[in-house]
Amino acid sequence: MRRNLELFWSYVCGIWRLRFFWLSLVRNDLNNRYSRSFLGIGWSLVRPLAMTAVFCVVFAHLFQVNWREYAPFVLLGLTVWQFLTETILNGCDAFTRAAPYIRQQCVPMAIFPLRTVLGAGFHAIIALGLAVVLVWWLKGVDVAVVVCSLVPAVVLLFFLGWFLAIVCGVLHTHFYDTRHILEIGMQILFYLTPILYHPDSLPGQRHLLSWLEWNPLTAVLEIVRRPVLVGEWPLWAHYQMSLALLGLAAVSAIWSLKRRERTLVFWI
Amino acid sequence: MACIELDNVVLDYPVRPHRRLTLKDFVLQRVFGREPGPSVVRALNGISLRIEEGERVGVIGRNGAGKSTLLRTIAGIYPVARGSRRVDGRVCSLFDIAVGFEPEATGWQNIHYRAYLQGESPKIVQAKLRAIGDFSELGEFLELPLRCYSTGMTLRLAFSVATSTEPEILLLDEFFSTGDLGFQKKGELRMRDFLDRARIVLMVGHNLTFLEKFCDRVLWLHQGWIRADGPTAQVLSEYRHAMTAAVAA
Repeated sequence: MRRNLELFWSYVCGIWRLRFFWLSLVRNDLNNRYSRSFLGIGWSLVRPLAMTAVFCVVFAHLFQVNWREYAPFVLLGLTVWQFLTETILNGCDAFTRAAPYIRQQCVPMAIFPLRTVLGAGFHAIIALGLAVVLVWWLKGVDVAVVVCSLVPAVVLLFFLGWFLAIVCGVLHTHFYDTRHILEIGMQILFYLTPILYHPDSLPGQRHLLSWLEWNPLTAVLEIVRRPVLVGEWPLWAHYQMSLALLGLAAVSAIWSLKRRERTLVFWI
Repeated sequence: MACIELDNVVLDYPVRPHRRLTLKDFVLQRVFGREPGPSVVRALNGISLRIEEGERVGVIGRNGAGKSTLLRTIAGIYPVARGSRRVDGRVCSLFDIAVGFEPEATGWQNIHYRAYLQGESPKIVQAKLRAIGDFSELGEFLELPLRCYSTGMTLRLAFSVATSTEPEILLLDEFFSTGDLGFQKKGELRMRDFLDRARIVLMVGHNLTFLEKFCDRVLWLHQGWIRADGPTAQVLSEYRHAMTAAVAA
C-alpha cells in the first residue's frame, strides 16, 4: 500500500514537473483554434449564445416556458454537455496526437488527456461566466454567492473530464472503433439527459423520469444549475451521485493507466 | 553517480495489422476464439550491460538489429518484458529530432516547447533563449510559424535546442550535425561540447568515422542480442570485416 502511494505521489510530481510543457501545449491549441478567425476567442462566446437562442426559439414554445427561465437553463445544460462531449471524444485521440512526444521521452501519459480537458475547460469556463452574467441580468442573483457555490462543481467537472479522457484515450488506442461508438452513444445520451428539458416538464413519462432520476449526469447538471439558477448550494444527494460517478471514473482511469500506460507506445 | 545497468533484458514488440485491435478482431477473438493474427517481434533478446559514469558508448548494427529499441528501453519509453533495467541519473533522450514540433507555432515558441518537454522552467529557457536563437542562425525566421521552414531549417532549430540542455545521461539516435556545410562545422564543435557535458553518452549511428572520434566503447547489436562489446577500434574493425564479407557473399 505504502509503495503504491509513493508511486502515485511520484507520478503526480512528474505531472507537476512538466506543467510548463502541457500548459504551453494548451495555449498553442487555443491559439491554433482561433488564430486565423475573424472573431478569434469571441467564438467561445458567440457559439453557446447562438445555440441557446436557437433552442430558446424552438423549445421555449414547445415546453410552454418563459424564455427568461429557459435561456440560462439551456445554456448551462449545453455548457456542461459540450465540455463532457469534447473531453470524451477528443480524449480518444489524446495519445495518438501526442505520439511524437511519447516516442521521444518517458513522460507521465496522463498529461496528454490533461491537455484535452484544459482546452475544453477553457471554453466551458467562458460559457459558464456568460451564463452567470445572463442570470444576473435577467434575475439579479448575487454573483459572489453563485461563483462560490460553483467552485466545487467546476473542480468536480474538471477531474471527471480528465479521468474520462484518460479512459477513452486508452480504449481508443487499442480499439479503433471506440470514438465512433462513443459518438453515437453521446448522441443518444444527449436526449436521455435533462439538457433541453426539465424533468418536471415530462408528467406521465414514468420510465423516462425513473431513468433521469438514476442518470448520474442529471446530478452533475444539477450541481452546476442549482447554484446559478436558484442561487443555492446543490442538494447533497446530487453531490453524492456526482461523486460516485467521479469515483468510478477515477478508478477506471487509474486502473487503465496502471495496466496499459507503459505499453501504449506500441499502439500509437 | 550516473549509471546504466541492464540484466538479461527481453523486449517483445507487439505487431498487429493496422497497429490496433479493431472491434471485429476483438469479437472474432473473444466470441469465436479465432486469433486475428497478432504477432510479437522479440526486439531485444537477453541484453546485459553496464555503463559507468564517463563512458561514451556507440551502438552499431544493421537495420532492425534493435539499436533504437535499446535506447528507448534505457530511456524508459519501452517496457521490458523480462529482466531488469536500472538507470541512475536524469535521462535526456534525443530521437527523431525534427519530430514533435508544433507547425503552427513560431520558432521561438517551439524552442520553449522543446525545452519544457525536457523539464526546463521558463526562467531557465528565457536565460538561454537568445543564445539558442543566435546559434540556429535563423534570425527573423524565428518569428514565423514552423510550417514556413524548410526541412534543413527545422533540423537546425531542433539541433540548436537539443544541444542547449545539461544532460546527465544522453541518448542519441542518428543525431549528428546537420544543415549546410558552414553549419555542419559549427554543429560538430557544438556537438563535441554537448557530449563533453554529459556524464554518460550512448549513441546509435551508421557513421563509423563519427563514432571513432567520439566513443571509447562500442556495442554491436545483431538481431536483438549483443554480438560484440569492447573498445571502439576493435569492435569497429570486426564490424567492418563482417560487413565486407556479407557484401562479398
